[in-house]
Amino acid sequence: MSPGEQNPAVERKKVSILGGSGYVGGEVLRLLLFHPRVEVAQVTSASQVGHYVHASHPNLRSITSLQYCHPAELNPCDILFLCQSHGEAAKKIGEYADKAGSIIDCSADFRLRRPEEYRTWYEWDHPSPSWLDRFVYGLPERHRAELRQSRYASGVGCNATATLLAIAPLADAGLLERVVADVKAGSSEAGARPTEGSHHPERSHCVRSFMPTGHRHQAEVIQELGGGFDLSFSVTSVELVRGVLATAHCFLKEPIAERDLWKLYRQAYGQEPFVRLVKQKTGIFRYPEPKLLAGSNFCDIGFEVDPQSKRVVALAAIDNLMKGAAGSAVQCMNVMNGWDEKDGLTFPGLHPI
Amino acid sequence: MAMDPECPECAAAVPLSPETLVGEIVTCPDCGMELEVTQVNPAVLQAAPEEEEDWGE
Amino acid sequence: METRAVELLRRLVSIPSLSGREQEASRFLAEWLERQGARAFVDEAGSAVGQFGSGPREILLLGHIDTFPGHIPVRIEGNILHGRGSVDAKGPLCAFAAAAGEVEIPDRWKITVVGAVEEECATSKGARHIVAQRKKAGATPFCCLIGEPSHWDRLTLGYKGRLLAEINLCAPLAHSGGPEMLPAEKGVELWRLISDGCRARNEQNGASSPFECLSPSLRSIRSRDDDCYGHVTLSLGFRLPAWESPEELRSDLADWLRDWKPVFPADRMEAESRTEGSPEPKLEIFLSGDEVCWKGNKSNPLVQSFLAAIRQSGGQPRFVLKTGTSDLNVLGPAFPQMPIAAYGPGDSSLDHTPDECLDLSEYQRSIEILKEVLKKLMLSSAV
Repeated sequence: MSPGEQNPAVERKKVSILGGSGYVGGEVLRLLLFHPRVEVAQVTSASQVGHYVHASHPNLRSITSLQYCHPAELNPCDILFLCQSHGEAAKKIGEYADKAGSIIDCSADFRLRRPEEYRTWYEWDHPSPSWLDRFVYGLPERHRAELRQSRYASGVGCNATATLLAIAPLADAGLLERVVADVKAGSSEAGARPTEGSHHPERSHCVRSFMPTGHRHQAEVIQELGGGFDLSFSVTSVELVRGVLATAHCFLKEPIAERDLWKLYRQAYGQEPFVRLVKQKTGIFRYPEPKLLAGSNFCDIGFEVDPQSKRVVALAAIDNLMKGAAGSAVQCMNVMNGWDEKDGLTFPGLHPI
Repeated sequence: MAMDPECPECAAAVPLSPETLVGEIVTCPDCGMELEVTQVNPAVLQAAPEEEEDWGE
Repeated sequence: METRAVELLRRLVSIPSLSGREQEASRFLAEWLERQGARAFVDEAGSAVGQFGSGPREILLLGHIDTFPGHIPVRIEGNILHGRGSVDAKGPLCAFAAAAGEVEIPDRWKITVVGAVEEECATSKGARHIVAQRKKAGATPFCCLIGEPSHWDRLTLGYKGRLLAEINLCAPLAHSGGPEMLPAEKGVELWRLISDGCRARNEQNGASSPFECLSPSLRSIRSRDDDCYGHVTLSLGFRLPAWESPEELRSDLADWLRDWKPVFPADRMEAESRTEGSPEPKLEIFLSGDEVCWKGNKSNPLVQSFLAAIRQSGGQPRFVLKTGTSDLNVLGPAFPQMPIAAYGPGDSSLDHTPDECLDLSEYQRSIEILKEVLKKLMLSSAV
């Protein structure tokens, strides 16, 4: 039994997951089963009705005996996590909102503010454009105050999250002229459904430049940081299952000294529970390293000044399924309910790994 | 110490105990730099001497 | 007018004290220490020992009283003292003795000055005896300072390890016009295999500085022929980094030379008892002088006192790592938790050279630093 099932006497909010059989759904479930303030009521999957959830998420064997139910059987609950593929949540948002006190969506359906953005970046006509401004972008580091007042939080793009956290202090200070960002991403970003490209013999040991231009996550970075600078953005797949490393070459308007950079980043992130500055003089892991973050909600950020030019290289590492998806989603839930932001999110990662 | 001194490299506040003596070597918690306490009350830090290498005995 | 400290140095340098023949020098130093108020004697190993104070906490100041061979007429010209051992290491040793004799010693403390024997000849007999005595008594010194030249404003934190190898190759002679390698050429080939092996280990370990490298040196190579055989003797020294212990090097040598089927006699007696006369080349490798690399850490009262004292005196303190080996390699591993470093006036590049000499103002300055360090240590509240 999960801790939630063991302690029924503690007042816990009822939480359900729509689309629980995918990677993000499974990760949200893993976090919620060990969250001190919630009790998981239902997990839905249209394709796995009746199956035990641990059949799709073997790490949860003996942790829960929940079985999938059909989305049509969803009962009212306090908090609803939407973990379906892109496009699903937007179609039925009205219906879901009737069943839940608050909703946290993990898809791309409510990340962007305007339907035109969806036409440009997703080539998609948004079916519920009136809902777009009711959702707050689901990154507490940028929208904590609004999340506290909101019933609805959007998902975040994992590549976008790493990139924007890396460069936000420079953008907010108006120092950026141009950014060229390359994101190295793990395979779990692509989701649980296999494709030809994800077939192991084809994917294994690749360093595949799979989206040199036109990646959708760029839209969120521009939206969140304003358009005051040029952004060039690429994504490269590397030999990782979980993990994202964003390397952003920031060309500044004026040179900056390393001490001032430290000050800027410390001011921006010194109080953040899940952002750590990693820039060490000695040791093996001197800069952010994704593999140390697997399963943890931290975003590690580092930077280096190029003394010959006005370039700063800003680095950020996350676990794409945690800070890039489920972890941020649960963090949003904590903020929206006035709980300790670290509830259910204390796992520190592993070493060695 | 009334106020923690700053690391000369990254400006982090480096916590020192009240018993810290002049000449002690401490490490910056943020950037990992080795620092020497060159003054107390108020505490001042500077980069610790580097390790040179020499032939012979 | 000559100060007491300079007189001590001049007189001690004037007494020849090759390794194994330090008796007169040790007696002289012990008597001098006694006149300064120490309980002084020459110990069983032959080292001069002087103990100031009688408290339980010991500051061990260990220099070596033996010198490298070679006579240099002892004289003071300008403010420079010339003489064998003036830098390595009677200068540092006398600075220890002078400083210890001039500080007040609180009840809980004692300062032991040792002029140790046989550091230069690689047995470190004096230092090992000091270690054995303390181990037997279960008494770890509070800290240890080794007397070796570092310059008055520098503190030596570490020395490399060492292994000495004598390789005897006996191979049948061959015609110099034929295809077979001559014994002398085989000797050169052995050296090449060993130095290639060291280079590969350095690459594997990412060694980028002299202190980090496994460094072989070919000290001599001699060959002679008798009727049918050539005998080649190579004398090698290895300077060891922290990542290669003497045991690991022994194992590496066996590995690099395995095709030659080397034999590793345990001692010289066993080596000399082997018979000659077989057509197969015979390779014997006699290893000695094992010392591990040792580097003391910096977060302790000894280092803290030095940094504060040097800065107080207007200097810019520096740390140094030496590629040589000293009694620090004996005391450090024996008491791994004990703060340890090496210090002393003088320029170590003059060690073992005909130009060995010591600037007396640097000598005096180092004594002032040492006195300040001793005072700070004895005020230390560290357990």
